[in-house]
Amino acid sequence: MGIIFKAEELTKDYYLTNNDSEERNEAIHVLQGMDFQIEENAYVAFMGKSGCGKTTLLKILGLIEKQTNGKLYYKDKNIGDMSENDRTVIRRQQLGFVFQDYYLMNSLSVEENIVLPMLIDKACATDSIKRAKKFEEILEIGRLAKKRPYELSGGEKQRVAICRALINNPEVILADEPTGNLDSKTSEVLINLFQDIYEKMNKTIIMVTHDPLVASHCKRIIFLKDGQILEELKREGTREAFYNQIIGRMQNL
Amino acid sequence: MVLLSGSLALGIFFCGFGMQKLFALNYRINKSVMGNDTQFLLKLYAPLELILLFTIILLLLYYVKCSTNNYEMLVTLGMEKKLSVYIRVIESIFGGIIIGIAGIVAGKLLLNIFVYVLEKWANLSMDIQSIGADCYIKALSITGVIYIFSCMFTRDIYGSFQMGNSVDKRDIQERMPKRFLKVLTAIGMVLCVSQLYRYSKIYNFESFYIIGVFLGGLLVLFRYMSAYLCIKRRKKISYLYKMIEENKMWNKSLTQTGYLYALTVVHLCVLFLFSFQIISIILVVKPQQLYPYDIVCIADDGDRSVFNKMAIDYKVNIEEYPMVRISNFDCTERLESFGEKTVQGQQIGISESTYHKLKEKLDQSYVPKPLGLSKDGKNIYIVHQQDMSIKAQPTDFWMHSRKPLLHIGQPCTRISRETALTALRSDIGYYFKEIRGEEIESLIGVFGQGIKENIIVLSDNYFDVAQEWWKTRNIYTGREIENPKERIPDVTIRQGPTKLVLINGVKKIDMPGIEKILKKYQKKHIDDEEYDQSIRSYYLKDMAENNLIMERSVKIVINILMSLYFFLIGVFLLLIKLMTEREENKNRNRFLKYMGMPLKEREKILFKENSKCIYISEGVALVSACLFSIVTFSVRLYPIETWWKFSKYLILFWSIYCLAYIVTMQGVVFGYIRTLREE
Repeated sequence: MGIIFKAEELTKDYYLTNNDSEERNEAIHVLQGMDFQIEENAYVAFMGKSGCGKTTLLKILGLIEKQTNGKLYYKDKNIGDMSENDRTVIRRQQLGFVFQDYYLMNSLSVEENIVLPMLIDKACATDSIKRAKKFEEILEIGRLAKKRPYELSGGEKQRVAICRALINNPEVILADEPTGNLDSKTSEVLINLFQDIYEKMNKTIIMVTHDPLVASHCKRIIFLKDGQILEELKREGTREAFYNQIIGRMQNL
Repeated sequence: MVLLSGSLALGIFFCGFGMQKLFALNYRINKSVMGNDTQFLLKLYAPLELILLFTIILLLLYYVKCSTNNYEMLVTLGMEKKLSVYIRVIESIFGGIIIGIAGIVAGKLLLNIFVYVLEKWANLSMDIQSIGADCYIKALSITGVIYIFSCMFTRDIYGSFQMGNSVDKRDIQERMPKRFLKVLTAIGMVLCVSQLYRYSKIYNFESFYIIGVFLGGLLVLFRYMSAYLCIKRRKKISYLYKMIEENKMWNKSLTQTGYLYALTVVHLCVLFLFSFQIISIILVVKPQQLYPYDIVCIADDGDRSVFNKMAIDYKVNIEEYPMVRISNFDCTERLESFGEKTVQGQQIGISESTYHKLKEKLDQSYVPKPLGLSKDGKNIYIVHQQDMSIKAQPTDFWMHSRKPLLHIGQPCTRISRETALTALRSDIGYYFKEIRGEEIESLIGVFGQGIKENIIVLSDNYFDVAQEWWKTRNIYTGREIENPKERIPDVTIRQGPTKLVLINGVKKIDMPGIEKILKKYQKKHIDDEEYDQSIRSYYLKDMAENNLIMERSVKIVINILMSLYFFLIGVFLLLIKLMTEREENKNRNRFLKYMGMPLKEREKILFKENSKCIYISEGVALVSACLFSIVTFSVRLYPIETWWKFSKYLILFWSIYCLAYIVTMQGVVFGYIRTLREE
């Protein structure tokens, strides 16, 4: 099984701008040297408290942001050596995003939101619509196609976001707190959906969450603390057992 | 920005009213400079008010959206609602005070610049201290009214779009018209075309109201045609390729068409109204050529001794031609209010043979051709005595009729508008005359600039009748006095001027002596000048020339400054657009980045979107300006060689303006995109 992502001594610093004084900008070390690798068709979750660097890591894996130091390989290619354009192409063709706040464009209809990544990739409009319809059917959102995102419920919006993430047939789905804004019932439906995507479509899913229930559906969990990997957990037994294991580990965070 | 736009609005209005007051004062003293044309300044306020209203609504919406969130948060944290209202009221009062002070300061500054430029370039002396309190009151009131209207509209828009709702509906779709689009688009087109047609008619005197209705038609076109095109475009699958680029037009149709329209109005003002004035003054015939005679007298048979003395003492060339005074019922373009008397105009009536002689005097190669005037005097030929920078205007404005309502003799003071309305049915001494032909020419001198002292040519046969007309007509009512015993000279009947005396060869050194003679002559004709003081019994070339030079200088300065000013308004409008859309653009950019769109493409979309606004507004304004210019060429009876000459200058002006605007705005958009990239 090939490796999708490989991180070596990955660090990320942010610099705070202090407007009130003339002090030098202060660096915040969000990620402090991470080493990990994610294989093809993995179902991985990053867990940790707020501010531990989960979302930043996801943005780096999604090639939205660059690391400050260290190396990140995507399918054996060093991301650091790539141009912005190459990174954009990978992001467009091989990665799909699902965000906590859905990140849908309210000024576009649901269907337009879904086909957008394909059109950005210069696909034919007719094919894009056909493909969108197919996914709308799978995710049961066909009746919402002409609606605007602000007319939908949270669960419906997240389905649209997943549909959009899948439209370009990416190898990896990156999900940032996908159930963060949803009630438990809707969350469960969404988790099952991710499960289907993982099992039936053979996608690699990398998720950031602090919800142990959501994380318990994953095959592997990487716990983060203060920008570092605290430990890893692999699911070997039943989901319930794995859930209890996660709860236990979370006390250390 | 809200305070700045308010201050600017107040400043503009203060400056405008101040200028009008200064010109009016100057006119009262000199009886010349910009008499009628100060109205031009006030008429410009209509598009300006429209643009300011739109700008202030946008800024208020933006401000309210930002501030409401802050106040709501404070109320949630426990602040009393009353207190938050109190703070807002205090904020508004302070805002108003700041706008008032800053606006008046800005207005005074603008006015000082205007006066400085006019003094320097037009050699005009103006006392800025003479501006009274009424200017302040007028400017403050009009700004206040605009603000009240803006607040009302803002409240409605805010309410109807639920902008205060906790749900983020920043991208909520604005109402786009969907019904009767074709019909409404056709109505818009018909309105525009019909107004162009109306503008092409001399009896509509290039009215500002026609341009106003045209702009109304353009607004209908922008709103409904853009909706029609958007809906049609969205039905095609190819729309998807440009869905982001065209999204704002679809989603924010009202705001986007608003910007497009406001920018078009601004450009049209510069490209047509101001540029036409500037170029017509540049191309206009030199004043010396517009006054072929040194002195023009409107005399009668009893003045022979005066002119004989003048000829003997000063060796001047005197020519006499028979004339009759002809009055027209209405010489003002405005509609008089109820109970207000109509001001009548006075023209010079001559025979066809006199006309040919005068033409020959101007041009030796002139070959007389019959004018085709009827013996019964039902039709006339008009020579509009004005220069090409003056707008086309009819000899008579009564009821905006194609046929002037004329009376042979001086104005009758007892004729009412109600009586004039019966002119078609009964004999009231004023008759509608058919215009057989007309031209713009300075046959004896442009002393009334097309409003008064135009030449009305009657057929030779009818002119003989007209010369005898006074003998039977009541001087107050214009009606025929049937009983010969009641025809008492200077009581019920009066002859009025009968001779057009044209004097040339006056030496400068003799002028004081000649003027003394003319002053005596004028005293004798005091009755002729009584009805309208701008109608004189004699006109001097030198005085008229100086006044004309001054008038032209004032006009050219005003129009250049107004062009610059409107250019800045255009820049300001687009800046507001960019500023208010900043957050939306930032979010969209981030969204598209996550979706995998390269930076170049993202920035290209932003660039195209704003460039469209620049090019469409300029394009529509250019086409409109082009059509209006052609129509104006025709209505002002410009000869074909003038068309070409004028067009060359117009194209040069348009190119400079459009290029300057495009370069400035593309620069601004580039800078804007760069700052977005850094965020």
